[in-house]
Amino acid sequence: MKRFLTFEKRSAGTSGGVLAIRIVSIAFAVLVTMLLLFVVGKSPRQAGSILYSLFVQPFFSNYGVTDTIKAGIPLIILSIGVSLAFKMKLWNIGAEGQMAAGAIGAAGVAIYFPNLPALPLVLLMAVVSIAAGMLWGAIAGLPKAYLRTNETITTLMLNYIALKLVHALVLGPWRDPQSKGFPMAPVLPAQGWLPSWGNTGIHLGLLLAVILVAVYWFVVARNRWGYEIRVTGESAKAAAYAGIDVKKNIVLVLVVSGAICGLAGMVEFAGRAHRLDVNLTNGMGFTAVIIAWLSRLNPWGVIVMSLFMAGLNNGGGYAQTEGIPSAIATMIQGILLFSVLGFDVLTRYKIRIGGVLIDVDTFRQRRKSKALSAGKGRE
Amino acid sequence: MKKFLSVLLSVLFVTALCLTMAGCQSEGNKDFKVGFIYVGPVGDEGFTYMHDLARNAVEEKLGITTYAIENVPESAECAAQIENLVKKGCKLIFTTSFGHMDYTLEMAEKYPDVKFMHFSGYKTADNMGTYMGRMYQTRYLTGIAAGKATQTNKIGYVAAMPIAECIRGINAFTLGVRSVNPEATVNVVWTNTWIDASIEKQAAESLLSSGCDVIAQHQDSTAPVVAAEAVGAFATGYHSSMASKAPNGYLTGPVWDFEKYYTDTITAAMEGKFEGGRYWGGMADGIVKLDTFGPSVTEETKTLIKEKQDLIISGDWDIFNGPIVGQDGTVKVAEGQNMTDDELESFSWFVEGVVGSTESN
Repeated sequence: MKRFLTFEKRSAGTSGGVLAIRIVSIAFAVLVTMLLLFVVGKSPRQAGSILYSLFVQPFFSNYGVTDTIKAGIPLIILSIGVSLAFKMKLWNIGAEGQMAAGAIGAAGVAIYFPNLPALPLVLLMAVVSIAAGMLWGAIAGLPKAYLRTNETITTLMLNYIALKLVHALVLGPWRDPQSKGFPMAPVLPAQGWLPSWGNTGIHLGLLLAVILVAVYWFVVARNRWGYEIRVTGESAKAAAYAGIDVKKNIVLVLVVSGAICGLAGMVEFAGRAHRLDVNLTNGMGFTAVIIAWLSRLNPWGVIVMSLFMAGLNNGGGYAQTEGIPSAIATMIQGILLFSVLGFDVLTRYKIRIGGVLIDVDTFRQRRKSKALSAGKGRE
Repeated sequence: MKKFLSVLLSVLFVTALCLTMAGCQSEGNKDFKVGFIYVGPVGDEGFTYMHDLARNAVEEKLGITTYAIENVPESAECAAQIENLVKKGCKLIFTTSFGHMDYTLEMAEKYPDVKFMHFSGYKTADNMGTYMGRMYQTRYLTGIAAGKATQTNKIGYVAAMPIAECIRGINAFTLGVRSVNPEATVNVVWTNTWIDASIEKQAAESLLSSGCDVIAQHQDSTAPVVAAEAVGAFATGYHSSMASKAPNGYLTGPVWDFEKYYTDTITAAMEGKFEGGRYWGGMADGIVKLDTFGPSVTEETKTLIKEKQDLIISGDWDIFNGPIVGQDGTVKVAEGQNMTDDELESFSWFVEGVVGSTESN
């Protein structure tokens, strides 16, 4: 029996096709958003301003861009961290906790060695934050490798442990004596602040993020270890058969993933927040999971999607000054993500509705052949 | 596809035009722009709602333009939103949560021509001041109502975090309770969150089941009041009037009224007389008030409260005038001594009558 609606897996789409689908999905989201804004009583002009503040201002206005980049830096680093684990189909949902662990490490260095000169202080903070992230990754990685625990659950739970640890520290031994009892650690001494560019606040972390992206690309695409990760991700059994030490790689990948996320904690601490409190991570570790998916673990895609999510988040605030409550701004962001992910199906499946086949590349090929035939005359 | 793109582009183009044109209108005070950063949603029926109520009233009264951004987290993201308000042309910006402090200062240093007022903090600059209300005064009066209402002599207190502001409030409330009912105790449960209705509800329920028959709160949701009403206990609110949440058991509550403060501060800034500094207004200034009374509050209690209220407003007496005995039974503030504002701001011990610890639980 022929079904009305069928999905067929298709080979990886061309990048042109993927791009076209992304644009269509965004345009679709804009249309639905316009409809929503119309329903809540906004005039087309107001709706235009709102859309502008949500989607244009964060990316094309002067200060919007700098704020987007600043917010994007930790997201890029975190997304690289989780992407590495995802490559091996290890579901590290623990970036938030690993970032918090890293921030705890960096803050600890700042609290116990506040008088170190700039370079040793920053380096020590980086080393300790990486070690803390590694530890947090290992706590999930070792049981995964040797006891077959579910790393999705363990990494998720470790988030709350790390965040509660931050809470306990800033309420207890690390509480700033000058904070009038408020639960936060002292401000990082100024020499430990990552150098920033002019008065933009864009700091050295950006360079670090870009380097990490390049290293990630190299490892995954060009390196033997990256090859092992990819093969294990496709099939652990095949990998073991081919002589790859799967257990070792499970631990190693979660530890390295944790290390990168831990470093993100230090970068956010020394680059932007400058003090440890419970709000430092602010859900960025979870956003990184979404970014990794949206970018399909592609290193350059991670940069684009991190900046996109960072800008979208800031835009949610900007739009409020155009007269919508934050709930509507969040809804619009949801519509956009929903649309992008929904249309994403088209890049992975051919869809047949009734007699009509929807396939990105056939559209393109048809157009190509049309263009060709137009040149050559009738077929 | 191309059609889609062209539609998209023209939409963007039109919005850009709209935006440039929106900057051209001007009439009187409309040009004076004031921004507000809220930590919670306007619809919280509490803290942020009270700020927004005042914002709307002042906008109407002074004919100025105001912008508000809600749900701004107490993280570095806050700086981006403050900067957004600066770029919108705001000359005066209020940030309304403690955690916005460092980022407010960062922006105050970056934009010296803009004035900033930060709620509940302690950092100031030439163009940045702080403001806060002496909520403890109204908490004392609320304590009188609670002390008179309790039958079991056990009063529950759902509190957010063991910080000076909450400790001060609990102490003032307890002193109020014990001024009319020396037998009663105030039992504190920390929730470690400012707003989380389910945790607040659980905390209130645990207190109620341990024999408390009045629930007080230092939280941002109405959950504790609702939990008390559900079992027929009494409750006092916070931030805004929560009378409608407990038509039977509501006693009264300490509430904010920012309208006069915002009117005065914004007017001063418009006239170029922004002062900044550290504002800590009390009942006499009208920034904190006692809510109306619930049906069960007797005339006798109301008279008692009125007497103390008049005394506070007159300035002849304040809550933390000695003698004050600490939780451990020692005299912490001797007769004739008064606690200074500095001591009140770093309160870290409980008075006699409080059951609980100033450490987190």
